[in-house]
This record gives sequence, structure tokens and C-alpha cells, in this order.
Amino acid sequence: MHEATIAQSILQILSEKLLQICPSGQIVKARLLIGEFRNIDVDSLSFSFDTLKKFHLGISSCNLEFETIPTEAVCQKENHIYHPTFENTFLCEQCQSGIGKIIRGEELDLVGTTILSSSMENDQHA
Amino acid sequence: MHETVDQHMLESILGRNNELAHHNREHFNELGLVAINIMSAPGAGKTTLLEKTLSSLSTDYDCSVIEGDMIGDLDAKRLQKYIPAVHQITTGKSCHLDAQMIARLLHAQKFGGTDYLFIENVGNLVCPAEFPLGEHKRVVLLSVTEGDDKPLKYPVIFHNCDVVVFTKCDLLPYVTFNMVKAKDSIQNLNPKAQCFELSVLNDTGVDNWLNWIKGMRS
Repeated sequence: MHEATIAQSILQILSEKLLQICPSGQIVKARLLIGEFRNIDVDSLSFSFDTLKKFHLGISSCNLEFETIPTEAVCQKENHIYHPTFENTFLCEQCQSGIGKIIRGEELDLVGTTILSSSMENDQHA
Repeated sequence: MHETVDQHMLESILGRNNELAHHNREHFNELGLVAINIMSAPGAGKTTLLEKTLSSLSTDYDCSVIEGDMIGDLDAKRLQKYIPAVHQITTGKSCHLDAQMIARLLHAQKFGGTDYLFIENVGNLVCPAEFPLGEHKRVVLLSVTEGDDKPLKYPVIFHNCDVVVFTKCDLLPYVTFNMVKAKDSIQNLNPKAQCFELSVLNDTGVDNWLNWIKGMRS
């Protein structure tokens, strides 16, 4: 289950961000883009993240929010852009050729966080 | 008083692995070696193919192996009969090798003079696909006993490889594996993938595989 490794990577990135942005704050939400053409099971990733987060100061109440990006590919023959799936055996519906190049759907990115901070700390920083 | 602040960013979650993979590639290039990452499901014949490969190549080339396994060193011991430079990485509960594991080994061991470095990944068609190691070539083995549907069921690894090796082809008369269907699926997922059909047991098709390897240094 490589989702545990990925959860660990997310926690590492979040810990570094928190230290940079607001060391005494708490990250309560992290937003992720997960491409459909990645071997990522979102439930496994959430489970791993929730199991590991309690060991990370300032992240223990963080929830993950996912946006799944559908796969888009340029086909091999006619340069159609299509949605390759298991159901269409990854073939272009228009010309029945396979994947030439994937242009979306391989994302695995952290795109945002919500940080809970005390206004006192903000005043001090100000 | 507390307030919430939304921060926007764009950070690759596996960015660190990818940076380390790049670092490993620089090491490989400086050492002048060719690194080949060999992946497959458990039991597809990675170690058997490596035994055959090392027995042929090691007379003319300096070969090293990084052997990835979750438990034990059974495969490493098999390969040490052919070459001394077999480095075991035991991943414990992890189902794949990652770039950091390779980087640690590169810094701890001497690879000077190596022509070919074969990295036998943990047997798995899912997880290793997500973790580039810095290798020059990614090879996926598909044994004919596994079924011709595997490329469609595990599209990511077949899309992101350079070579597919069909193994155990001596068993084709006894299984329902449809080679045309399997190759069509691979072609549809990855038109650049080169395919080899071989059987180590009866020594057919192995020369094509060896010539492809040797071609990378010529």
C-alpha cells in the first residue's frame, strides 16, 4: 500500500509549510489534486493520513479534501482529445487508436491548506 | 480569538522522490553506468531473467544488482552465484523501492566501474509505477501465466515503461494467453514500448533481450 508513503510525504510537506507560515497554528484542511491516471486509492490515502497525522504537531486535526482530475489524452492517430478509461479499453471513441500522450490525469499535487491561527500570534507578527 | 487563513500552493506530493530520482540519475551518468529498473508482479520471473542475463553479460561487462524485497534475501543469494555485487534492500512493509532507498545505497556502496546496474523492484504492478528511481530504462515483465488482460488492469505501469518482456513463453501452448491481444493493449497504452517474448527455460528469445541491453552501451 504505497498510499502510506504518499501520506507521509503530504505530512512532511504540511509540517514544513506550517513551520514557515504559522508555527503555532494548526492546519485543519489540505486540498489535493489526484489524477485519475495515478495508482492512488483515495480511501487508502485518507486512512493512512488519518492514522499518521496524530504524530504530527499542528496537523493532527487536518482533513484531506480531494479533487479527482479525469484523464485526458491525445490519441495516437488523429490527435483527438479523449477520456481513456478501462471501459473503452483506453481507446479513442472517434478513431479507435490508443493513447498518444496524456495531458491531464497524472496530477498528484497539494494545492492548498486552511490554517487555524490565533489572532494574537498574527498581531505579534504584525 | 482564532481565525482561519486559506493558503494556495502548487506542490508535487512526490516532488522529493522525483528530485532524488534526478539526483540518482546524475550519479548514474557520472559513473557511466546504465541503470535498468525491472518491475513485475510477484513470480513473473524477474530473478530468473536476471540470472540468465548475468550469466551471459558478466563475462564482458561489470554488472551490479540492487535487489528489492519486502522480506529476506533469497533472490540476492541466487544472483550472488553470478556476480558478487548484489546489494539487498529490504523494504519491510513497503511494497516498492523509492528514490531515497537507492540514493542511500549509492552513497554507501561503490559502483565505480559498473557497466550495468539492474534494479529488481519489489514484485508488484501498482506501487513501483509511482516511484521513479532515476533509472535510464523501465522494464515490465508479464508472464504468460498471468493473463493477457494485465495491461488493461494495470495501465499506469504499462503506460510508463520503455520495454515489456513476456516471460515463460514456453508455456503458451498450455495457457489461454492471447499474445496479439496483450500486445495490442500495450500498443494502445504505450506505442513506444518495445516488446520481447522469451523463455529462459528453453532459451528462446533471450538473445533479443540481451542485444537490447548491449545496444544501450554501443
